[in-house]
Amino acid sequence: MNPTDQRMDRLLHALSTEPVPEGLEQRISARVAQRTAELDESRPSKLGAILQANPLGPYAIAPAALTVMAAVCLLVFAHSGVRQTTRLNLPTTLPGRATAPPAELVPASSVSHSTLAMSVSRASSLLDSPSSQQDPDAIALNETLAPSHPAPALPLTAQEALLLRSTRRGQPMEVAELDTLLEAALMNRVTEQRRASLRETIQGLLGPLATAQALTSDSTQPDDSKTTADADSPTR
Amino acid sequence: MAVPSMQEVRSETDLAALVETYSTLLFRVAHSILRNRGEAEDVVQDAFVRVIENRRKLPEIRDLRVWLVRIAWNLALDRTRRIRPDQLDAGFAESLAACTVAADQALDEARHIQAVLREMDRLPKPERAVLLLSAMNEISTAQIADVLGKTESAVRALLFRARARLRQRLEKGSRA
Repeated sequence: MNPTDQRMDRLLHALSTEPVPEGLEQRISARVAQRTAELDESRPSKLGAILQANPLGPYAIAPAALTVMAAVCLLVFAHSGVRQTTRLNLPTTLPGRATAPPAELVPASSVSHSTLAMSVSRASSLLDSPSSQQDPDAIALNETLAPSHPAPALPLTAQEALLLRSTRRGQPMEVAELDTLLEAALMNRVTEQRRASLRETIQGLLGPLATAQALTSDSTQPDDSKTTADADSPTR
Repeated sequence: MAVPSMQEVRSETDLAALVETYSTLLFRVAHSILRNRGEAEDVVQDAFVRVIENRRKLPEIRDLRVWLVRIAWNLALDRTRRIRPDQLDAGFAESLAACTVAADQALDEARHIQAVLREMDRLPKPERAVLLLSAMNEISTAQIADVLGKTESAVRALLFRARARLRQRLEKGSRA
């Protein structure tokens, strides 16, 4: 036999008689058991099992799903219609609108059912049109579709304002308002401090003036003595 | 080897029996392509995982051996696209040469066997597949034809052409 053929046959025989690694079957069994456990965990729920057991299968599920979806759509549509009616029948009870002229208010009875059926796109186009400022329907629809804002915050009560001021730092006066005796003492102290500072300020301002006056008086006094001396001298 | 009957196939659906019966064959089939024992073992495990995933279809399978060999063969082919050539078992040729010839000739013989493996890898895919699968004693020509989706005559023709082409290339390489 050709040596090349011998090598080929030897190689093919070696490939066909390659010894199997030890423990191969155990490792395969372990891997298969692991995969089986994973498949059991991902097994469909009872509903899935019922659906799988159903002989009609997905063909019976599709009409049921469509029916449910149609019912949900009908409910949503009916609910939105009720909400629109409620909005349009609401009286304008806002305090700012209470003094508005009645011509700007559109009573609920004057709104036709066609307005109720108006789609949002048509409403937006109506609101965007330049003539919407004059059209009473547009004004009413604008008021209806306007977003509701929360009420403005009420002013703080005296206690809240006091508590708020007491939480500020570096202001002993406001903290002292919690204690009337301490407040009076601190008020007196602050008043005294203000007076002292005012006095110092005035003295600082008037100090140079007093010095100038003193100097002026000092410079004029020798002249007076001299004159008096001069006046006395002839008499001598 | 005779094709197992339907009753035999039915009785082989037990997984433990499947592993015991076919793990060696599948390992050798995968190893003939990959020539890497670790990768071949992974292929065998993946093949039996496929069996678990398709266990509902097991009673419908006509020839379980063909089905399993086809799974292992395709998985091994997929794996050859992912692994690098240098990850193939380079010591396979050396070990084969060392156990057949004396130590002083082992190196030269290993070089020749490496050349055979290299030329075998360069064969057209159908010829290479038929050549490797026909080396397995446990697979008949008809089963090889089923695995590869060909007729028995086509398998025989491919096997003849594969051997002829391989011989021609090896002799041409040895003369050069």
